[in-house]
Amino acid sequence: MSEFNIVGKSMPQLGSIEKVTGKALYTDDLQFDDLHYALILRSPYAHARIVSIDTSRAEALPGVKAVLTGCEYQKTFGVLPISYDETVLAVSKVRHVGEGVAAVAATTLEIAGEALKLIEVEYEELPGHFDPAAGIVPVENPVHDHGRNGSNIHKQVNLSFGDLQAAHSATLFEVSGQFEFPAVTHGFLEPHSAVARWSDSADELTIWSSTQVPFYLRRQLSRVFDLPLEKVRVIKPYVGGGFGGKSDPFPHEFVVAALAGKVRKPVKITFSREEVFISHHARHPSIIKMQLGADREGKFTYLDLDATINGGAFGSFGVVTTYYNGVLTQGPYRINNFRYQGRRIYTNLPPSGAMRGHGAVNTRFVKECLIDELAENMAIDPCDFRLANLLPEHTLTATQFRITSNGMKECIERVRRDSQWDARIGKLPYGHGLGVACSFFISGSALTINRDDPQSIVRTVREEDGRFTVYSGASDIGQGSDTVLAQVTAEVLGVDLDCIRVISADTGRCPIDIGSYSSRVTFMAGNAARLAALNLLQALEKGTGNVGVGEYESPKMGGDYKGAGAGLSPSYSFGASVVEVKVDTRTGFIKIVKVWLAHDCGKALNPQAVEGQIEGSVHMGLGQFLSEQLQFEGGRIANASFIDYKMILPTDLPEINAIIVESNDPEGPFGAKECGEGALHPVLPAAANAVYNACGLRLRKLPAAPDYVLSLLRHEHTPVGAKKP
Amino acid sequence: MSLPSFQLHMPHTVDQAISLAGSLKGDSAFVAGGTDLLVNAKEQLNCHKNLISLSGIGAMKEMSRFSIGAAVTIAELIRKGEILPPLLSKTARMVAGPALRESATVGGNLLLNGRCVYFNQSKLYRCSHGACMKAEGKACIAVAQTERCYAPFSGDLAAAFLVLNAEFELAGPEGERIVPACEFYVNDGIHANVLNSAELLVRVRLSEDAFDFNCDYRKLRPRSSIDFPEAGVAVAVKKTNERASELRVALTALGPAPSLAVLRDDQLEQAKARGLADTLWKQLSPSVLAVRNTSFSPTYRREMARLFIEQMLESLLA
Repeated sequence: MSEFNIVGKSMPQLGSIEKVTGKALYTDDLQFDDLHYALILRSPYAHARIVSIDTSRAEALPGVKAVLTGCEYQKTFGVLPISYDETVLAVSKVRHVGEGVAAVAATTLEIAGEALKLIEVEYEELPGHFDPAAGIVPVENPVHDHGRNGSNIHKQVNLSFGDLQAAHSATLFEVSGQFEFPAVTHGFLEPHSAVARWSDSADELTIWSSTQVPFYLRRQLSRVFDLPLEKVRVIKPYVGGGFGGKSDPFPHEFVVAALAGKVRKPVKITFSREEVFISHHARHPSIIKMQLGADREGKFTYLDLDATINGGAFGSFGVVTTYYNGVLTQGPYRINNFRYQGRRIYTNLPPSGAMRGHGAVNTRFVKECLIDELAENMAIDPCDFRLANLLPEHTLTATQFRITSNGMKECIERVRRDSQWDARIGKLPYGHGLGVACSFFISGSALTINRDDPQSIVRTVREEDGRFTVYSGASDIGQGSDTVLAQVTAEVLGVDLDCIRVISADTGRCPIDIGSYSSRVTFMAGNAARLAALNLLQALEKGTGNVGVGEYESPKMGGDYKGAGAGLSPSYSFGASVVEVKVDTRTGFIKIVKVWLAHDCGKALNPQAVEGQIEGSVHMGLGQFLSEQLQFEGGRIANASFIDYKMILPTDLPEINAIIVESNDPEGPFGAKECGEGALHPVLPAAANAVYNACGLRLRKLPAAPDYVLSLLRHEHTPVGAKKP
Repeated sequence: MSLPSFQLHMPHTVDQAISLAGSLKGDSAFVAGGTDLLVNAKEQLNCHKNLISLSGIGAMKEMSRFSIGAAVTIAELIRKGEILPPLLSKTARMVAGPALRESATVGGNLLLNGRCVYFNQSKLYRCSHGACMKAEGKACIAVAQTERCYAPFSGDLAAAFLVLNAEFELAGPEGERIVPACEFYVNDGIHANVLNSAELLVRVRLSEDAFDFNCDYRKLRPRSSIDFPEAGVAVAVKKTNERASELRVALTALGPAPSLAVLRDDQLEQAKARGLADTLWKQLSPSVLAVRNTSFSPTYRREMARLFIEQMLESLLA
């Protein structure tokens, strides 16, 4: 018998029937009287000065109700207060192909399209900056004027812990490598879409948007349009996936707001898939160098890491990404001597930003691949090697991250056992292999982006019929956060789930939650919901009221060095994966045969949803491993469609064994912590290590496309100790 | 993204369709499933003011043992595939994905517009990069200083029909004509076949001979569904008295036109000494015009086609 009635039981997500029967209304489905349609004219140049814009012919076209250019709203915005560097439309120069230059609102989409053709823009082309390595030194016409010393460096991080020199002398085994990763996209199904409408008095703005961050959007709209916060209302309808690609305030949201202000009617924009590829804020293309050492006892001595990440044209979450590339790499292992040098470089590519597993996926790949090499050199089983180096529960890392619950050991043991690792490793024929890797990720950032923001507040009300309504700012973007809030509330109140109604992600009705990103909602909004329900219960018992409010704030923690807050979380997830592959050594095709993935999510509030997150993570991770990459040439995306961008298909997926490990976090709601992002991390390196085990190839870049694999098979010297055909 | 406006015409007979096309003086295209033509039209590629739908022409949807209407959907071909040489449904199963196959037709696959990373692009991309000669531009982008378009023909079924020695029945203002599959295609990415203006592919004909071959089709593609072929190889082997008497190999997606190589009787015996795959490849390679304009490199695509021929022959001749 479970100690809980509702928590811990698998259940379909709230709204799932509406979604599968087509009744759920996404932003583009919403109906408005007198709706007008917006389109954005986008720059064909990667880097150019705008000499002039003539919109007169477009304005004269019947049916065109408003035209907008960049000079009308010059205030910058962004998600991080330290990188407010985007404008509604390009002001005096364009910084990437596809940046918005002008926008129109018309009575029909067709007229809006015709109007765009009538706008004449004169550009003076500037040389484009595409190579991040070239942007480290001062350059002519940098992407922004605020790069360090006239360079294109957006952010530089230098961190060092312990004593690297002393660690070198204790080191017996050492491995190093340089790895390259292209940009990859989130691949959510629903494109960005937004509708804006002003009040008749023109002093209140309402916007419906497919967003992960309604409260950040509200704040930035209020800044740019100079409105008090309470005069801006952001409503998030059903969202068809985000994965980080909807976690910034985006220019189009300001464009529809500005146009709606001019037209005095509701104005809508819905992106084409190409516009999504331009605007999504992809995972940063990166070049990562790493050196890793171990002593004669098989313990890590040091980790030395250098990452250059390609930020594209704007800041987005990039400062955080720069830190995460370093600091999230250390766990789940004890490594006391750790150096990280990282830099984010502005280029004339579409901006990079946050994507599932934010900032840590590529460096995790490098580290887990190098650990595999180290284990090979030391002739230790890679599972044993990892087990011997794990952080324990309730400890501090070198960067002074506070580790609480930790199910890492059990995760490795489970995938090892279920994959029959010990019976099979080293005994499979040439071309057939197994690989293992681990993960470590945050359950939300302990520090809020805007220092004065609370993390999450939930208000729960008993209605007159005896049922309960939960009001929360948290954005359900398909991950199931509404269901989690309902489950937690029902559990505390001792009622059935159908007694709970959740109203969420409407800044006009709900208290703040800062958004669905960095895997924070179950932990933080879940805690707030639990407290709200407890407070309501108390009020009901005492007869003092019908409302309970709960607020979650992270405990104070962390070091006092510069950047100590980055990567700091009240709780961390852990995980391990074993991947089985078969490599066709005549064609270079890698077939993923089977994946075992054990993830420590603290407590699975809805096990079916946790399994869904694990399966989705495997799909996304294998896509980046096997075939996904954005191909740029001259700043243009050459494959901005789902036929040319090779996201893997259901037919490419192997059998996935999702294993839930519950370490019962002392601070998580009913012990829960994150599961939406950490589960992605181990899949890619486990697959790479399996390829090595199969045919002796060490991959140094992704994706592991068959032509690349075949070229390695032909030209690379098969390392000593590896299997021979 | 919306379709440009067009006038849709719905003829009921082949004759009506042809005379409509004639009267519209070149500014029309025939449309069946629309999975190729309408996708391109959305990107304002090769748009026409008039579309003549073939979906109301019953005769073009008929299928029998020796005849397949051009408007038969690929899904239908699979469902009723048991009356046909098994190669056809095997190949058809590798075309696109299940949902697309319900709309896409046999004729549409045989007349697929050539695909190229520089052609199948958005208006923004073409405006930024400059459009190629197959779109609204003047020159080829994939290959410098060429007069010719290298967009590869990427239909799978063509390779199957080529090795089955099929014939295409065409109807036009000048009347009907029968063109063997091996004479239908032209190695030019813009005009990739012999169809004249207002001429229509009505059906594909097979002879009894098509049932005498053991066949296979292999497709090189990044993913296991949906993708167009980066190289497609069909192989057919006829055996007489337990001995191979005829070998037919067709390639698709390695140039603007699919190509065919045939070895019979004496040639076959001679080729055995030199190596069958090598001999066939030597025959085929002049028509292989693979350049860097798809996902995989041209070298890799050629190499894989060569490998597939070898591997398929090995298993079919075993």
